[in-house]
Amino acid sequence: MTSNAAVVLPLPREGAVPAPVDGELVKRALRGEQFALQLLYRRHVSALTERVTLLLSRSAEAEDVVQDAFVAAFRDLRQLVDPTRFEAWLMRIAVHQVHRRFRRRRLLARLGLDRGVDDARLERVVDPSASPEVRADLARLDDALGRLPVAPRLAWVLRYVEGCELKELADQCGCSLATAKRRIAQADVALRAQLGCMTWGAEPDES
Amino acid sequence: MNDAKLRADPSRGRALSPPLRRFLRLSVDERAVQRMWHGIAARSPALAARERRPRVAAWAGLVVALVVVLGFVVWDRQVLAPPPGVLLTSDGVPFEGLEAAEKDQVKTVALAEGSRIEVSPGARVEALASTPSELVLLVRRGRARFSVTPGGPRRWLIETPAARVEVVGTILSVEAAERSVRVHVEEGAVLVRSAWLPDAVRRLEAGHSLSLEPPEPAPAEPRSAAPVEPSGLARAEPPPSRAPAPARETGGGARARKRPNDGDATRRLWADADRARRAGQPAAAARLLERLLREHPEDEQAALGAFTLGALYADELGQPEPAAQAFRRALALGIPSVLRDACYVRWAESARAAGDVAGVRRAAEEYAKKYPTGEQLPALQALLDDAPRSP
Repeated sequence: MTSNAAVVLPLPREGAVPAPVDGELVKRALRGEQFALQLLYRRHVSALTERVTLLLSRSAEAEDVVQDAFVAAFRDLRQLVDPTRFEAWLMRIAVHQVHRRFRRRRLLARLGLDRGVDDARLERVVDPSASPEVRADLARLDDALGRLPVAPRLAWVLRYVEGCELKELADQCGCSLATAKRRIAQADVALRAQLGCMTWGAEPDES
Repeated sequence: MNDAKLRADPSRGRALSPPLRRFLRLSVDERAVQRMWHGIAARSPALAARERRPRVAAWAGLVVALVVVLGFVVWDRQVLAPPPGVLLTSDGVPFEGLEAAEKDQVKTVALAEGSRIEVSPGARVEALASTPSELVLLVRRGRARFSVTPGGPRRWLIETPAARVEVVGTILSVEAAERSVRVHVEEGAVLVRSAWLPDAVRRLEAGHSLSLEPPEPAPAEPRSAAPVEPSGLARAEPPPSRAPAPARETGGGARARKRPNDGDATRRLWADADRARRAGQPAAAARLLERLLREHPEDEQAALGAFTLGALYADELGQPEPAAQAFRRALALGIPSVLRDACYVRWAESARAAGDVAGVRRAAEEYAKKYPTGEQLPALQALLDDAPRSP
Protein backbone atom coordinates (compact mmCIF):
# COMPACT_ATOMS: atom_id res chain seq x y z
CA MET A 1 0.00 0.00 0.00
CA THR A 2 1.54 3.30 -1.05
CA SER A 3 1.65 6.35 1.14
CA ASN A 4 -0.93 7.92 -1.21
CA ALA A 5 -3.38 5.28 -0.13
CA ALA A 6 -2.56 5.41 3.57
CA VAL A 7 -5.20 7.94 4.57
CA VAL A 8 -8.25 8.81 2.56
CA LEU A 9 -8.88 12.52 2.27
CA PRO A 10 -12.01 14.21 3.54
CA LEU A 11 -14.67 15.70 1.32
CA PRO A 12 -14.55 19.45 0.82
CA ARG A 13 -16.98 21.39 2.96
CA GLU A 14 -19.72 23.59 1.64
CA GLY A 15 -18.38 26.78 0.19
CA ALA A 16 -15.24 25.13 -1.01
CA VAL A 17 -14.40 24.81 -4.67
CA PRO A 18 -16.82 22.20 -6.07
CA ALA A 19 -15.24 18.85 -6.68
CA PRO A 20 -15.49 17.13 -10.04
CA VAL A 21 -18.67 15.14 -10.71
CA ASP A 22 -18.62 11.37 -10.68
CA GLY A 23 -18.36 11.07 -14.44
CA GLU A 24 -15.26 13.21 -14.50
CA LEU A 25 -13.72 11.31 -11.59
CA VAL A 26 -14.32 7.98 -13.28
CA LYS A 27 -12.56 9.21 -16.40
CA ARG A 28 -9.66 10.48 -14.35
CA ALA A 29 -9.46 7.24 -12.44
CA LEU A 30 -9.25 5.36 -15.71
CA ARG A 31 -6.32 7.56 -16.60
CA GLY A 32 -4.60 6.41 -13.45
CA GLU A 33 -5.33 9.20 -10.99
CA GLN A 34 -5.53 7.61 -7.56
CA PHE A 35 -6.91 10.78 -6.07
CA ALA A 36 -10.00 10.36 -8.24
CA LEU A 37 -10.58 6.94 -6.72
CA GLN A 38 -10.17 8.39 -3.26
CA LEU A 39 -12.74 11.07 -3.97
CA LEU A 40 -15.19 8.55 -5.38
CA TYR A 41 -14.72 6.44 -2.28
CA ARG A 42 -15.12 9.33 0.09
CA ARG A 43 -18.17 10.60 -1.70
CA HIS A 44 -20.10 7.33 -1.61
CA VAL A 45 -18.76 5.29 1.31
CA SER A 46 -21.16 6.60 3.94
CA ALA A 47 -24.33 6.13 1.96
CA LEU A 48 -23.20 2.73 0.77
CA THR A 49 -22.22 1.57 4.24
CA GLU A 50 -25.53 2.68 5.73
CA ARG A 51 -27.54 0.96 3.04
CA VAL A 52 -25.59 -2.28 3.26
CA THR A 53 -25.84 -2.18 7.05
CA LEU A 54 -29.62 -1.99 6.81
CA LEU A 55 -29.73 -4.84 4.34
CA LEU A 56 -27.44 -7.13 6.32
CA SER A 57 -28.32 -6.05 9.87
CA ARG A 58 -24.67 -6.64 10.81
CA SER A 59 -22.22 -3.77 10.93
CA ALA A 60 -19.02 -5.83 10.71
CA GLU A 61 -20.27 -7.72 7.67
CA ALA A 62 -21.42 -4.46 6.16
CA GLU A 63 -17.89 -3.08 6.26
CA ASP A 64 -16.61 -6.19 4.54
CA VAL A 65 -19.24 -5.91 1.82
CA VAL A 66 -18.48 -2.23 1.31
CA GLN A 67 -14.82 -3.04 0.87
CA ASP A 68 -15.65 -5.87 -1.51
CA ALA A 69 -17.92 -3.58 -3.51
CA PHE A 70 -15.34 -0.83 -3.90
CA VAL A 71 -12.60 -3.29 -4.77
CA ALA A 72 -14.83 -4.79 -7.45
CA ALA A 73 -15.89 -1.37 -8.72
CA PHE A 74 -12.32 -0.09 -8.97
CA ARG A 75 -11.22 -3.31 -10.62
CA ASP A 76 -14.00 -3.30 -13.21
CA LEU A 77 -14.23 0.43 -13.75
CA ARG A 78 -13.62 0.08 -17.45
CA GLN A 79 -16.82 -1.93 -17.76
CA LEU A 80 -18.93 0.98 -16.57
CA VAL A 81 -20.65 2.11 -19.73
CA ASP A 82 -21.96 5.43 -18.42
CA PRO A 83 -19.43 7.02 -16.03
CA THR A 84 -22.09 9.35 -14.65
CA ARG A 85 -23.89 6.32 -13.18
CA PHE A 86 -21.05 5.26 -10.91
CA GLU A 87 -23.14 5.46 -7.76
CA ALA A 88 -25.97 3.32 -9.11
CA TRP A 89 -23.47 0.81 -10.45
CA LEU A 90 -21.65 0.66 -7.14
CA MET A 91 -24.91 0.08 -5.28
CA ARG A 92 -25.78 -2.73 -7.63
CA ILE A 93 -22.43 -4.41 -7.00
CA ALA A 94 -22.99 -4.05 -3.26
CA VAL A 95 -26.49 -5.56 -3.37
CA HIS A 96 -25.10 -8.50 -5.30
CA GLN A 97 -22.45 -8.94 -2.60
CA VAL A 98 -25.17 -8.78 0.04
CA HIS A 99 -26.94 -11.67 -1.67
CA ARG A 100 -23.76 -13.71 -1.52
CA ARG A 101 -23.35 -12.92 2.15
CA PHE A 102 -26.82 -14.15 2.92
CA ARG A 103 -26.19 -17.39 1.07
CA ARG A 104 -23.02 -17.89 3.05
CA ARG A 105 -24.70 -16.97 6.28
CA ARG A 106 -27.47 -19.47 5.68
CA LEU A 107 -25.01 -22.21 5.01
CA LEU A 108 -22.91 -21.43 8.06
CA ALA A 109 -26.05 -21.31 10.18
CA ARG A 110 -26.95 -24.80 9.03
CA LEU A 111 -23.55 -25.98 10.16
CA GLY A 112 -23.81 -24.18 13.45
CA LEU A 113 -20.87 -21.98 12.50
CA ASP A 114 -22.61 -18.67 12.07
CA ARG A 115 -21.26 -16.56 14.91
CA GLY A 116 -22.36 -13.20 13.58
CA VAL A 117 -24.47 -10.89 15.68
CA ASP A 118 -27.33 -8.84 14.24
CA ASP A 119 -26.12 -5.65 15.87
CA ALA A 120 -27.72 -3.39 13.27
CA ARG A 121 -31.33 -4.54 13.22
CA LEU A 122 -33.83 -1.75 12.74
CA GLU A 123 -34.66 -1.52 16.43
CA ARG A 124 -30.95 -1.24 17.25
CA VAL A 125 -30.35 1.69 14.94
CA VAL A 126 -33.55 3.55 15.78
CA ASP A 127 -33.27 7.23 16.52
CA PRO A 128 -33.00 7.73 20.29
CA SER A 129 -35.95 10.12 20.17
CA ALA A 130 -38.28 7.49 18.69
CA SER A 131 -41.32 6.58 20.76
CA PRO A 132 -41.65 3.21 22.48
CA GLU A 133 -44.38 2.32 20.01
CA VAL A 134 -42.09 2.89 17.07
CA ARG A 135 -39.39 0.84 18.74
CA ALA A 136 -41.77 -2.01 19.41
CA ASP A 137 -43.06 -1.96 15.85
CA LEU A 138 -39.54 -1.97 14.46
CA ALA A 139 -38.64 -4.93 16.66
CA ARG A 140 -41.60 -6.88 15.33
CA LEU A 141 -40.70 -5.87 11.82
CA ASP A 142 -37.13 -7.05 12.38
CA ASP A 143 -38.33 -10.50 13.37
CA ALA A 144 -40.70 -10.70 10.46
CA LEU A 145 -38.09 -9.55 7.95
CA GLY A 146 -35.69 -12.12 9.31
CA ARG A 147 -38.07 -14.85 8.26
CA LEU A 148 -38.41 -13.70 4.67
CA PRO A 149 -36.46 -15.18 1.78
CA VAL A 150 -33.51 -13.01 0.85
CA ALA A 151 -34.66 -11.52 -2.44
CA PRO A 152 -38.07 -10.28 -1.21
CA ARG A 153 -36.49 -9.10 2.02
CA LEU A 154 -33.88 -6.99 0.26
CA ALA A 155 -36.45 -5.56 -2.16
CA TRP A 156 -38.77 -4.66 0.71
CA VAL A 157 -36.01 -2.98 2.73
CA LEU A 158 -34.81 -1.00 -0.26
CA ARG A 159 -38.34 0.10 -0.99
CA TYR A 160 -39.86 0.84 2.39
CA VAL A 161 -36.88 1.44 4.62
CA GLU A 162 -34.59 3.21 2.19
CA GLY A 163 -37.38 4.73 0.12
CA CYS A 164 -35.96 3.70 -3.25
CA GLU A 165 -38.04 4.30 -6.33
CA LEU A 166 -39.06 1.10 -8.07
CA LYS A 167 -36.87 1.66 -11.09
CA GLU A 168 -33.84 2.34 -8.90
CA LEU A 169 -34.64 -0.70 -6.79
CA ALA A 170 -34.89 -2.94 -9.83
CA ASP A 171 -31.58 -1.65 -11.08
CA GLN A 172 -29.86 -2.28 -7.77
CA CYS A 173 -31.30 -5.75 -7.47
CA GLY A 174 -30.33 -6.54 -11.03
CA CYS A 175 -33.85 -7.57 -12.00
CA SER A 176 -36.72 -6.34 -14.10
CA LEU A 177 -39.29 -3.89 -12.80
CA ALA A 178 -41.89 -6.65 -12.84
CA THR A 179 -39.68 -8.92 -10.78
CA ALA A 180 -38.98 -6.14 -8.31
CA LYS A 181 -42.68 -5.50 -7.86
CA ARG A 182 -43.35 -9.19 -7.48
CA ARG A 183 -40.70 -9.51 -4.76
CA ILE A 184 -42.11 -6.54 -2.89
CA ALA A 185 -45.59 -7.97 -3.14
CA GLN A 186 -44.34 -11.33 -1.91
CA ALA A 187 -42.75 -9.65 1.09
CA ASP A 188 -45.90 -7.61 1.74
CA VAL A 189 -48.05 -10.73 1.87
CA ALA A 190 -45.68 -12.51 4.23
CA LEU A 191 -45.32 -9.50 6.50
CA ARG A 192 -49.08 -8.99 6.68
CA ALA A 193 -49.47 -12.60 7.67
CA GLN A 194 -46.88 -12.26 10.42
CA LEU A 195 -47.50 -8.77 11.70
CA GLY A 196 -51.21 -9.14 12.06
CA CYS A 197 -52.52 -5.95 13.60
CA MET A 198 -49.99 -3.71 11.92
CA THR A 199 -51.32 -2.41 8.65
CA TRP A 200 -48.95 -2.96 5.73
CA GLY A 201 -51.46 -2.83 3.00
CA ALA A 202 -51.17 -1.96 -0.65
CA GLU A 203 -52.88 1.24 -1.70
CA PRO A 204 -54.10 2.30 -5.05
CA ASP A 205 -51.59 4.32 -6.93
CA GLU A 206 -52.34 7.92 -6.27
CA SER A 207 -51.30 8.99 -9.76
CA MET B 1 -49.28 -2.99 -10.93
CA ASN B 2 -50.13 -0.47 -8.24
CA ASP B 3 -47.28 0.98 -6.39
CA ALA B 4 -47.70 -0.58 -2.92
CA LYS B 5 -47.24 1.68 0.06
CA LEU B 6 -47.05 1.11 3.73
CA ARG B 7 -49.62 2.96 5.68
CA ALA B 8 -49.94 3.51 9.37
CA ASP B 9 -53.25 2.55 10.87
CA PRO B 10 -54.51 5.86 12.22
CA SER B 11 -57.15 4.17 14.29
CA ARG B 12 -54.36 2.66 16.39
CA GLY B 13 -52.44 5.87 16.66
CA ARG B 14 -49.28 4.37 15.18
CA ALA B 15 -46.81 6.66 13.54
CA LEU B 16 -44.65 4.20 11.63
CA SER B 17 -44.81 4.99 7.95
CA PRO B 18 -42.38 4.67 5.09
CA PRO B 19 -39.70 5.38 4.39
CA LEU B 20 -38.69 3.96 7.71
CA ARG B 21 -35.25 5.46 7.33
CA ARG B 22 -36.45 8.61 8.96
CA PHE B 23 -36.95 6.73 12.22
CA LEU B 24 -33.41 5.46 12.18
CA ARG B 25 -30.07 6.95 13.00
CA LEU B 26 -27.14 5.54 11.17
CA SER B 27 -23.72 7.05 10.89
CA VAL B 28 -20.33 6.01 9.61
CA ASP B 29 -17.54 7.35 11.73
CA GLU B 30 -14.25 8.51 10.37
CA ARG B 31 -12.32 5.61 11.80
CA ALA B 32 -14.54 3.17 9.94
CA VAL B 33 -14.02 5.15 6.74
CA GLN B 34 -10.27 5.02 7.16
CA ARG B 35 -10.32 1.39 8.19
CA MET B 36 -12.31 0.35 5.13
CA TRP B 37 -10.04 2.38 2.90
CA HIS B 38 -7.01 0.53 4.22
CA GLY B 39 -8.66 -2.73 3.29
CA ILE B 40 -9.63 -1.51 -0.16
CA ALA B 41 -6.22 -0.03 -0.89
CA ALA B 42 -4.51 -3.26 0.10
CA ARG B 43 -6.58 -5.19 -2.42
CA SER B 44 -6.73 -2.74 -5.31
CA PRO B 45 -4.00 -2.87 -7.93
CA ALA B 46 -5.20 0.51 -9.13
CA LEU B 47 -4.13 2.01 -5.85
CA ALA B 48 -0.80 0.25 -5.86
CA ALA B 49 0.16 1.51 -9.28
CA ARG B 50 2.03 4.77 -9.55
CA GLU B 51 -0.22 7.65 -10.26
CA ARG B 52 0.29 9.05 -13.71
CA ARG B 53 0.42 12.78 -14.02
CA PRO B 54 -2.67 14.26 -15.61
CA ARG B 55 -2.15 15.42 -19.12
CA VAL B 56 -2.34 19.04 -20.02
CA ALA B 57 -5.04 21.24 -18.39
CA ALA B 58 -3.00 22.80 -15.61
CA TRP B 59 -6.22 24.44 -14.41
CA ALA B 60 -7.72 20.99 -13.73
CA GLY B 61 -4.76 20.16 -11.55
CA LEU B 62 -5.17 23.47 -9.79
CA VAL B 63 -8.84 22.75 -9.05
CA VAL B 64 -7.93 19.41 -7.57
CA ALA B 65 -5.14 20.95 -5.53
CA LEU B 66 -7.52 23.59 -4.22
CA VAL B 67 -9.96 20.91 -3.18
CA VAL B 68 -7.20 19.15 -1.30
CA VAL B 69 -5.97 22.29 0.41
CA LEU B 70 -9.44 23.47 1.36
CA GLY B 71 -10.28 20.03 2.57
CA PHE B 72 -7.37 20.09 4.97
CA VAL B 73 -8.04 23.67 6.05
CA VAL B 74 -11.63 23.06 7.09
CA TRP B 75 -11.13 19.46 8.21
CA ASP B 76 -12.43 18.78 11.69
CA ARG B 77 -9.30 16.87 12.57
CA GLN B 78 -11.21 13.75 13.51
CA VAL B 79 -7.97 11.87 13.05
CA LEU B 80 -6.17 13.75 15.81
CA ALA B 81 -2.51 13.88 16.50
CA PRO B 82 -2.11 11.06 19.00
CA PRO B 83 -1.03 11.89 22.52
CA PRO B 84 2.68 11.29 23.07
CA GLY B 85 3.58 7.71 23.87
CA VAL B 86 0.55 6.10 22.23
CA LEU B 87 1.57 3.13 20.14
CA LEU B 88 1.00 3.79 16.46
CA THR B 89 0.55 1.50 13.52
CA SER B 90 3.06 1.61 10.71
CA ASP B 91 0.63 3.99 8.96
CA GLY B 92 0.96 6.48 11.74
CA VAL B 93 -2.48 6.13 13.32
CA PRO B 94 -3.03 5.05 16.91
CA PHE B 95 -3.60 1.36 17.25
CA GLU B 96 -7.06 0.82 18.67
CA GLY B 97 -7.84 -2.70 17.78
CA LEU B 98 -8.20 -5.27 15.05
CA GLU B 99 -11.07 -7.49 14.14
CA ALA B 100 -11.66 -10.03 11.45
CA ALA B 101 -15.28 -10.76 10.76
CA GLU B 102 -16.48 -14.20 9.96
CA LYS B 103 -15.05 -14.12 6.50
CA ASP B 104 -12.14 -15.51 4.70
CA GLN B 105 -9.00 -13.76 5.59
CA VAL B 106 -6.56 -13.23 8.39
CA LYS B 107 -6.14 -9.57 9.21
CA THR B 108 -2.77 -8.16 10.13
CA VAL B 109 -1.58 -4.85 11.49
CA ALA B 110 2.03 -3.80 11.62
CA LEU B 111 2.96 -1.50 14.45
CA ALA B 112 5.37 1.38 14.23
CA GLU B 113 7.95 -0.24 16.45
CA GLY B 114 8.04 -3.38 14.36
CA SER B 115 5.62 -5.65 16.19
CA ARG B 116 2.75 -7.33 14.38
CA ILE B 117 -0.67 -8.52 15.37
CA GLU B 118 -2.72 -11.00 13.36
CA VAL B 119 -6.31 -11.97 13.99
CA SER B 120 -7.99 -15.03 12.56
CA PRO B 121 -11.52 -14.90 11.11
CA GLY B 122 -13.99 -14.22 13.88
CA ALA B 123 -11.37 -12.88 16.23
CA ARG B 124 -11.21 -9.46 17.86
CA VAL B 125 -8.39 -7.68 19.64
CA GLU B 126 -8.92 -4.35 21.38
CA ALA B 127 -6.36 -1.91 22.75
CA LEU B 128 -7.32 -1.08 26.31
CA ALA B 129 -4.40 1.15 27.19
CA SER B 130 -1.32 2.48 25.46
CA THR B 131 1.39 4.37 27.29
CA PRO B 132 5.10 4.82 26.70
CA SER B 133 5.79 1.92 29.05
CA GLU B 134 2.86 -0.40 28.61
CA LEU B 135 0.41 -1.70 26.04
CA VAL B 136 -2.66 -3.52 27.27
CA LEU B 137 -4.60 -5.53 24.72
CA LEU B 138 -7.74 -7.59 25.08
CA VAL B 139 -8.33 -10.73 23.02
CA ARG B 140 -12.06 -10.57 23.24
CA ARG B 141 -12.65 -13.67 21.15
CA GLY B 142 -10.94 -15.95 18.70
CA ARG B 143 -7.29 -16.45 17.91
CA ALA B 144 -4.70 -13.73 17.64
CA ARG B 145 -0.98 -14.00 17.03
CA PHE B 146 1.44 -11.46 18.38
CA SER B 147 5.00 -10.89 17.19
CA VAL B 148 6.42 -8.55 19.77
CA THR B 149 9.66 -6.79 18.92
CA PRO B 150 12.29 -7.64 21.52
CA GLY B 151 13.92 -4.75 23.33
CA GLY B 152 10.96 -2.42 22.88
CA PRO B 153 10.14 0.13 25.56
CA ARG B 154 6.71 -1.24 26.33
CA ARG B 155 5.59 -4.15 28.36
CA TRP B 156 2.76 -5.95 26.61
CA LEU B 157 -0.15 -7.24 28.64
CA ILE B 158 -2.57 -9.41 26.73
CA GLU B 159 -5.82 -9.86 28.57
CA THR B 160 -8.41 -12.50 27.89
CA PRO B 161 -11.62 -13.19 29.78
CA ALA B 162 -9.78 -15.83 31.80
CA ALA B 163 -6.11 -14.96 31.91
CA ARG B 164 -3.50 -12.27 31.46
CA VAL B 165 -0.34 -12.88 29.50
CA GLU B 166 2.68 -10.70 30.17
CA VAL B 167 5.01 -10.46 27.25
CA VAL B 168 8.48 -9.08 26.70
CA GLY B 169 9.86 -9.62 23.22
CA THR B 170 8.31 -12.80 21.93
CA ILE B 171 6.05 -14.45 19.37
CA LEU B 172 2.94 -16.03 20.74
CA SER B 173 -0.65 -16.94 19.95
CA VAL B 174 -3.57 -16.38 22.23
CA GLU B 175 -6.95 -17.88 21.57
CA ALA B 176 -9.89 -16.86 23.72
CA ALA B 177 -13.30 -18.50 23.81
CA GLU B 178 -16.16 -18.16 26.25
CA ARG B 179 -14.88 -20.75 28.64
CA SER B 180 -11.32 -21.38 27.68
CA VAL B 181 -8.11 -19.71 26.68
CA ARG B 182 -5.08 -21.17 24.95
CA VAL B 183 -1.61 -19.66 24.85
CA HIS B 184 1.16 -20.96 22.64
CA VAL B 185 4.63 -19.45 22.71
CA GLU B 186 6.75 -19.69 19.60
CA GLU B 187 9.71 -17.60 20.73
CA GLY B 188 10.74 -15.99 24.00
CA ALA B 189 8.85 -16.43 27.24
CA VAL B 190 5.66 -15.18 28.80
CA LEU B 191 3.97 -15.12 32.17
CA VAL B 192 0.38 -16.30 32.32
CA ARG B 193 -1.70 -15.21 35.27
CA SER B 194 -5.10 -16.72 35.89
CA ALA B 195 -7.30 -17.69 38.79
CA TRP B 196 -7.69 -21.02 37.06
CA LEU B 197 -4.02 -21.83 37.52
CA PRO B 198 -3.02 -23.74 40.63
CA ASP B 199 -0.54 -21.04 41.68
CA ALA B 200 -2.29 -18.29 39.77
CA VAL B 201 0.75 -17.73 37.57
CA ARG B 202 2.77 -19.82 35.15
CA ARG B 203 5.82 -19.08 33.04
CA LEU B 204 5.73 -20.45 29.50
CA GLU B 205 8.90 -20.90 27.49
CA ALA B 206 9.25 -21.16 23.72
CA GLY B 207 7.59 -24.20 22.25
CA HIS B 208 5.24 -24.61 25.19
CA SER B 209 1.52 -24.19 25.30
CA LEU B 210 -1.05 -23.76 27.98
CA SER B 211 -4.76 -24.40 27.84
CA LEU B 212 -7.02 -23.09 30.53
CA GLU B 213 -10.57 -24.02 31.33
CA PRO B 214 -12.53 -23.34 34.49
CA PRO B 215 -12.17 -26.12 37.04
CA GLU B 216 -15.23 -28.36 37.03
CA PRO B 217 -16.79 -29.92 40.11
CA ALA B 218 -17.39 -33.25 38.34
CA PRO B 219 -14.72 -35.76 39.37
CA ALA B 220 -14.49 -37.57 36.05
CA GLU B 221 -11.48 -35.89 34.54
CA PRO B 222 -9.64 -33.02 36.17
CA ARG B 223 -9.28 -30.18 33.72
CA SER B 224 -6.57 -28.18 35.40
CA ALA B 225 -4.18 -26.58 32.99
CA ALA B 226 -0.95 -28.32 32.23
CA PRO B 227 1.84 -27.46 29.86
CA VAL B 228 2.71 -30.01 27.23
CA GLU B 229 6.03 -31.10 25.81
CA PRO B 230 7.81 -28.71 23.49
CA SER B 231 6.23 -28.24 20.09
CA GLY B 232 2.95 -29.73 21.26
CA LEU B 233 -0.35 -28.01 21.71
CA ALA B 234 -2.38 -28.48 24.88
CA ARG B 235 -5.60 -30.32 24.30
CA ALA B 236 -8.60 -29.88 26.52
CA GLU B 237 -10.01 -33.20 25.37
CA PRO B 238 -8.38 -36.32 24.04
CA PRO B 239 -8.30 -36.33 20.28
CA PRO B 240 -10.55 -38.61 18.30
CA SER B 241 -8.97 -42.02 17.94
CA ARG B 242 -9.00 -42.12 14.18
CA ALA B 243 -7.04 -39.87 11.92
CA PRO B 244 -9.05 -38.14 9.22
CA ALA B 245 -9.46 -40.10 6.05
CA PRO B 246 -7.23 -38.93 3.21
CA ALA B 247 -8.72 -36.45 0.79
CA ARG B 248 -10.40 -37.93 -2.18
CA GLU B 249 -9.48 -36.17 -5.40
CA THR B 250 -12.62 -35.61 -7.33
CA GLY B 251 -13.66 -32.83 -9.68
CA GLY B 252 -14.55 -29.54 -8.08
CA GLY B 253 -18.22 -29.26 -7.33
CA ALA B 254 -18.90 -32.97 -7.77
CA ARG B 255 -21.96 -34.09 -5.92
CA ALA B 256 -22.28 -37.84 -5.73
CA ARG B 257 -25.64 -39.41 -5.13
CA LYS B 258 -26.50 -40.93 -1.82
CA ARG B 259 -26.35 -44.66 -1.56
CA PRO B 260 -29.74 -46.32 -1.15
CA ASN B 261 -31.05 -46.43 2.43
CA ASP B 262 -28.33 -44.09 3.68
CA GLY B 263 -30.64 -41.18 4.33
CA ASP B 264 -31.66 -42.10 7.86
CA ALA B 265 -28.15 -43.08 8.91
CA THR B 266 -26.57 -39.86 7.70
CA ARG B 267 -29.33 -37.73 9.15
CA ARG B 268 -28.81 -39.39 12.52
CA LEU B 269 -25.07 -38.83 12.40
CA TRP B 270 -25.58 -35.19 11.46
CA ALA B 271 -28.08 -34.70 14.25
CA ASP B 272 -25.89 -36.44 16.80
CA ALA B 273 -22.84 -34.42 15.77
CA ASP B 274 -24.81 -31.21 15.99
CA ARG B 275 -26.13 -32.15 19.40
CA ALA B 276 -22.63 -32.94 20.66
CA ARG B 277 -21.27 -29.67 19.35
CA ARG B 278 -24.03 -27.65 21.00
CA ALA B 279 -23.47 -29.53 24.26
CA GLY B 280 -19.85 -28.35 24.29
CA GLN B 281 -18.40 -31.70 23.29
CA PRO B 282 -16.36 -30.92 20.20
CA ALA B 283 -14.33 -34.13 20.39
CA ALA B 284 -17.48 -36.21 20.31
CA ALA B 285 -18.85 -34.10 17.48
CA ALA B 286 -15.61 -34.57 15.56
CA ARG B 287 -15.76 -38.34 16.03
CA LEU B 288 -19.29 -38.40 14.64
CA LEU B 289 -18.37 -36.30 11.65
CA GLU B 290 -15.35 -38.51 10.99
CA ARG B 291 -17.68 -41.47 10.98
CA LEU B 292 -20.06 -39.69 8.65
CA LEU B 293 -17.26 -39.06 6.19
CA ARG B 294 -15.86 -42.54 6.55
CA GLU B 295 -19.12 -44.42 6.19
CA HIS B 296 -20.94 -42.10 3.82
CA PRO B 297 -18.32 -40.33 1.73
CA GLU B 298 -20.73 -39.96 -1.15
CA ASP B 299 -23.37 -38.21 0.86
CA GLU B 300 -24.38 -34.96 -0.76
CA GLN B 301 -23.48 -33.08 2.38
CA ALA B 302 -20.11 -34.73 2.92
CA ALA B 303 -18.27 -31.59 1.84
CA LEU B 304 -20.10 -29.54 4.44
CA GLY B 305 -19.36 -32.20 7.01
CA ALA B 306 -15.67 -31.98 6.22
CA PHE B 307 -15.78 -28.20 6.51
CA THR B 308 -17.51 -28.39 9.88
CA LEU B 309 -14.99 -31.00 11.01
CA GLY B 310 -12.15 -28.70 10.03
CA ALA B 311 -13.67 -25.86 12.01
CA LEU B 312 -14.04 -28.09 15.07
CA TYR B 313 -10.43 -29.22 14.87
CA ALA B 314 -9.11 -25.72 14.29
CA ASP B 315 -11.29 -23.65 16.57
CA GLU B 316 -12.26 -25.89 19.43
CA LEU B 317 -9.82 -28.78 19.58
CA GLY B 318 -6.64 -26.92 18.71
CA GLN B 319 -5.52 -29.54 16.23
CA PRO B 320 -4.38 -27.72 13.11
CA GLU B 321 -3.06 -30.74 11.25
CA PRO B 322 -6.32 -32.68 11.04
CA ALA B 323 -8.06 -29.35 10.52
CA ALA B 324 -5.99 -28.72 7.41
CA GLN B 325 -6.73 -32.20 6.14
CA ALA B 326 -10.44 -31.73 6.73
CA PHE B 327 -10.59 -28.39 4.91
CA ARG B 328 -8.65 -29.84 2.03
CA ARG B 329 -11.02 -32.74 1.90
CA ALA B 330 -14.02 -30.41 1.91
CA LEU B 331 -12.65 -28.78 -1.22
CA ALA B 332 -12.06 -32.13 -2.88
CA LEU B 333 -15.62 -33.18 -2.06
CA GLY B 334 -17.03 -30.08 -3.68
CA ILE B 335 -17.74 -27.44 -1.05
CA PRO B 336 -20.43 -24.95 -2.17
CA SER B 337 -18.98 -21.90 -3.84
CA VAL B 338 -20.05 -19.50 -1.11
CA LEU B 339 -17.74 -21.34 1.32
CA ARG B 340 -15.01 -22.15 -1.13
CA ASP B 341 -12.80 -19.13 -0.48
CA ALA B 342 -13.17 -19.52 3.27
CA CYS B 343 -12.22 -23.16 2.94
CA TYR B 344 -8.98 -22.36 1.12
CA VAL B 345 -8.01 -19.74 3.66
CA ARG B 346 -8.77 -22.03 6.55
CA TRP B 347 -6.81 -24.84 4.97
CA ALA B 348 -3.82 -22.55 4.60
CA GLU B 349 -4.21 -21.14 8.11
CA SER B 350 -4.41 -24.58 9.63
CA ALA B 351 -1.42 -25.77 7.65
CA ARG B 352 0.56 -22.79 8.82
CA ALA B 353 -0.45 -23.41 12.42
CA ALA B 354 0.71 -26.99 12.02
CA GLY B 355 4.05 -25.77 10.70
CA ASP B 356 3.31 -27.29 7.31
CA VAL B 357 4.77 -24.74 4.93
CA ALA B 358 4.34 -27.07 2.00
CA GLY B 359 0.65 -27.31 2.86
CA VAL B 360 0.30 -23.55 2.92
CA ARG B 361 1.98 -23.34 -0.47
CA ARG B 362 -0.24 -26.09 -1.85
CA ALA B 363 -3.38 -24.26 -0.75
CA ALA B 364 -2.21 -20.94 -2.13
CA GLU B 365 -1.03 -22.36 -5.43
CA GLU B 366 -4.15 -24.42 -5.98
CA TYR B 367 -6.36 -21.43 -5.32
CA ALA B 368 -4.28 -19.18 -7.56
CA LYS B 369 -4.39 -21.72 -10.35
CA LYS B 370 -8.12 -22.32 -10.18
CA TYR B 371 -9.17 -18.78 -9.37
CA PRO B 372 -6.55 -16.41 -10.75
CA THR B 373 -8.70 -13.38 -9.88
CA GLY B 374 -9.94 -14.77 -6.60
CA GLU B 375 -10.57 -12.34 -3.77
CA GLN B 376 -8.50 -14.28 -1.31
CA LEU B 377 -5.28 -14.27 -3.28
CA PRO B 378 -3.73 -11.50 -1.14
CA ALA B 379 -4.74 -13.26 2.06
CA LEU B 380 -3.30 -16.59 0.94
CA GLN B 381 -0.12 -14.93 -0.21
CA ALA B 382 0.18 -13.23 3.18
CA LEU B 383 -0.21 -16.58 4.91
CA LEU B 384 2.49 -18.03 2.72
CA ASP B 385 4.81 -15.10 3.38
CA ASP B 386 4.30 -15.44 7.12
CA ALA B 387 4.57 -19.20 7.30
CA PRO B 388 7.40 -20.30 9.58
CA ARG B 389 10.46 -21.63 7.85
CA SER B 390 10.77 -25.39 7.90
CA PRO B 391 13.28 -26.59 10.47
